[in-house]
Amino acid sequence: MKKRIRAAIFLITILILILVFLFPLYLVLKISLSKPQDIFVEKPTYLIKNFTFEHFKSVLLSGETFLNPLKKSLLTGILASILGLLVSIPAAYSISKFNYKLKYALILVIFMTRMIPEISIALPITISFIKIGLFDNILGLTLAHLIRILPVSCFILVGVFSGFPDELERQARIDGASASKAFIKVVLPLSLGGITVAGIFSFLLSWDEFIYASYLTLARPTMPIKMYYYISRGDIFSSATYAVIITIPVLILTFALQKYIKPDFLSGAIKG
Amino acid sequence: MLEHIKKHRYKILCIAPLLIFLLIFTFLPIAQVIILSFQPAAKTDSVTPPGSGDNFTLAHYQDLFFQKDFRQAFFNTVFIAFLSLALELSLGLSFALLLCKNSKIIRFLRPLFILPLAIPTTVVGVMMSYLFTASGWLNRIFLNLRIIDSPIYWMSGGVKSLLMIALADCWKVTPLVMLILLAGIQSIDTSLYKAARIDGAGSFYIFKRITLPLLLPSITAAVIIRGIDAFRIFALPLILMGQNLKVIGTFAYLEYSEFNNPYVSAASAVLLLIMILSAVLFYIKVVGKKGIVPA
Amino acid sequence: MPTKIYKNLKFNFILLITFLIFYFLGCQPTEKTRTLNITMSLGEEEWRVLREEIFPLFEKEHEIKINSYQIEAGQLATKLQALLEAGRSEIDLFAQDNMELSRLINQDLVLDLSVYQSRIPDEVLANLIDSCKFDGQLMFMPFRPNVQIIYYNQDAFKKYNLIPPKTWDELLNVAKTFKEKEEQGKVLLKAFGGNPTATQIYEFILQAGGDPYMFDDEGCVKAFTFLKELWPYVSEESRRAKWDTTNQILAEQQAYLAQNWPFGVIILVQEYNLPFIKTYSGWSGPRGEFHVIGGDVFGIPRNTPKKELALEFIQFMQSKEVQEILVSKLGWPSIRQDAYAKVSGWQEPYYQAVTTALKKGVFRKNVTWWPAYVKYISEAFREIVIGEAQVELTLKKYKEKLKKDKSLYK
Repeated sequence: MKKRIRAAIFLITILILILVFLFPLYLVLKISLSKPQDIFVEKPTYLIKNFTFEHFKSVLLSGETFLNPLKKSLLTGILASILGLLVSIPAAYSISKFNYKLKYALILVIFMTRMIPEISIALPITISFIKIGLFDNILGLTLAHLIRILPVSCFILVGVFSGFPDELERQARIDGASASKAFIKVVLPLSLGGITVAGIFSFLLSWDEFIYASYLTLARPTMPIKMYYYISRGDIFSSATYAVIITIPVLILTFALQKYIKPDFLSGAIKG
Repeated sequence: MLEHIKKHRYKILCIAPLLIFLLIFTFLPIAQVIILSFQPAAKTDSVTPPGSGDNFTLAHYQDLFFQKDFRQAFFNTVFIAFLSLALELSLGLSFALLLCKNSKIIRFLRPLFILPLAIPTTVVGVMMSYLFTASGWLNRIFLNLRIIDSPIYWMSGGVKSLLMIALADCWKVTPLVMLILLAGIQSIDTSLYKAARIDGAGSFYIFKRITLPLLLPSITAAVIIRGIDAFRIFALPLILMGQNLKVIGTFAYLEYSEFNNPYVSAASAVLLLIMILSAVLFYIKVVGKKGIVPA
Repeated sequence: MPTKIYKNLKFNFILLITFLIFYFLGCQPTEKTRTLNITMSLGEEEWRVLREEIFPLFEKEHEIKINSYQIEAGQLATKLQALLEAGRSEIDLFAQDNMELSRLINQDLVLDLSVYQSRIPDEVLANLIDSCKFDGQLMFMPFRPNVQIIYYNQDAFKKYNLIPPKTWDELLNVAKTFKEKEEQGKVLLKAFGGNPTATQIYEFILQAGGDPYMFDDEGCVKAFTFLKELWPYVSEESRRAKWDTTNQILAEQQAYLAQNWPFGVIILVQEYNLPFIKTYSGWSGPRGEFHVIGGDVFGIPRNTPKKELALEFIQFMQSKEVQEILVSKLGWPSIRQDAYAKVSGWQEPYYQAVTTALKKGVFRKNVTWWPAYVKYISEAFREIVIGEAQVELTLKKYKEKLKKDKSLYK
């Protein structure tokens, strides 16, 4: 009985925490679902007074002006995570085989790329990209996003592969498999969870990226740029709706891949 | 040396794409910025002292140290970064401890805590402005709960504004810290707890003497990942406080884009780089081997 | 050993091929038809009118296709600079906020258009042409003038028996009354900093008879003294008030009186349907009524290959026909004296406010060091008005700072 009460209190605490923690999100959701007259009073109510889907309708049905940024953001995000994984998986696997000092040093070097304000190197990079013809297209933006993504993806994957028990690999080698075969047949399938986590983080980093998107797009903006357009015009309903829409894919992704997200993978290069 | 390369050539080939990419697209631009910070300004002006070398000058760095704006930005950056880190670590740890069981309900509720990570920073900025304005929700709730009796002017500068930015930043990032610490907690051998309990240790003692020390590697990982980003904060101060509260990130940006001074901008970026690098190295030294490799 | 290396090389090779495939997928196919690439920063309704009613006229006459893109005013210079340094031309013509021009001049991003001044129609008002000049050179072409108007909450004013203020004294009185009756200020000043704050102070200084660029002459001192007096009675939201947040503050009735550009009319009245929002041209100071004229101007990037076409487009936009569409459909005041058009129904009273304010409109003198001026006048504002520092001394301090910084600009 006592256990039950403790469990209940526990649950309630967590629920209250969720309420408090996610309150800012609720605010945005509220705006996107409320009628203007309920928001434009001096003291708006805590709960949604009059539900309305008009904001969502007007955004979702606005045709190209909504679908194009959505397409671009999605494609860039998916491409960035795939390319990021393709590059960082072999690299991380190799790094994970080194001794811990070299491993840590390499990780630090890779992370050094993140130690400078993004805005300082954004312009030189943009100029280089434009010179080689990567202006205003998905590949250019993807590569720019990879600059942010690769260090993080590498970090997660080094942790994943470091935590992988050597015995299984060694067994496969003893049974006659080559190094890469052992990798593909044994390590990869069992590390799928960690790889998924790296992929999700990569997608997230690309999905909400703003600086390179604003430098490298002209005709085809991404979702964050579009949303900023409404924010800078003071149009809070459109921007709130876009904000909610931007959050949804991530929510879906996280819930769907819940079972893979074992937090182990984020301990990074730490595991011996 | 060459045998070393031969032995590891397989591995080196695997790492090659990554390193080449980073070399071209990050190290090179960073080198460009560093070089720019040491170049004398393009035309004669009061910045370049007479007699300095043709292609090398420390004038811009001197300029920075004399600028009150930059010193303030430096202080703000450090303050916000430390405050934000402290908040993230404590909140992240608390959440991780609460959510470390693997029951079905917990596993369902966990993704909800991860949500703030998914929100683009621009959106976070806007959300926070709903909370932190004089008539915003935070003040309303506090007034309703009678915690304060007159609204707090979060955006009027000073410690309040620094606190506001730190809170906004840590809100978005706490889920990441939580996940890292969760990994650490889940990797602690539960038999250690059982043994301690048998010996009669209380929960707090267990936490202090067993959990925390074993978590040090994860905490290090969190500190390094988050620390680096905390110093580079850019979008949130710009959205919430504009030019009224500068951090090094926004200072570098404004010097370049508004005030026509790419050299000072580069110098401030380099200073930030040095600052972060030394902070990280210092932390690793202090924490030592204990804090990096699990026991 | 060799097989391992071979396998790995194969993998890297596949990676390279994939990369190349996407690279070529990403490259744009060359356009068969002639095009003109234009960028502007407009609201959705404004884009609609331009793209559906105005651009097709030019496209048909010249047999070209116009590609029009939205770029925020603050991001145009960066894009132009990146394109210029990379040696590519993607933008042939742009319309830019006339308060965001100094970076374009400082970084040498636009063509000097002095030789084409004769192409400007005679009916275009002379002071508009002057406003496109930097140091006597014509660097831009007039497009649309714009001016801020005063928005006020009709219900609130009626409730307390007040009328919209026409002088500084009346403004102070209104502010005091609201503060007294509602225990919080309801008059909004834009104190966030940046262009919104600087423009506001610029107007107050002009209205006190001062020269804003002098920083500490008699008029400046008078203006700052008045603002210092006014500050205790203004809305607390003033600290975060700039051009985009002001609309929200008005809508949420956190302020009953605020100054903003006419785009707020479209948002507050048409979109949000708020019946209590009214406008008028504004007040006058001790030396008269002055309002800063903003708006957009055309510019041509330095490396465009389609200069002639761009110039023809500019002339097209300055023609009577197009200007009349802009007046009637968007409520934009015209640059021509002879553009007579009827503004549609509900926009009429707001358009009146704009044209009245425009009659008292003044252009800022174009200086390349405008951002430095903005920075220091905003800081002076925060120190003097909010921080209650001594007026003359503080102004003098910032004047010195500004003098030092001027050398950084062209």
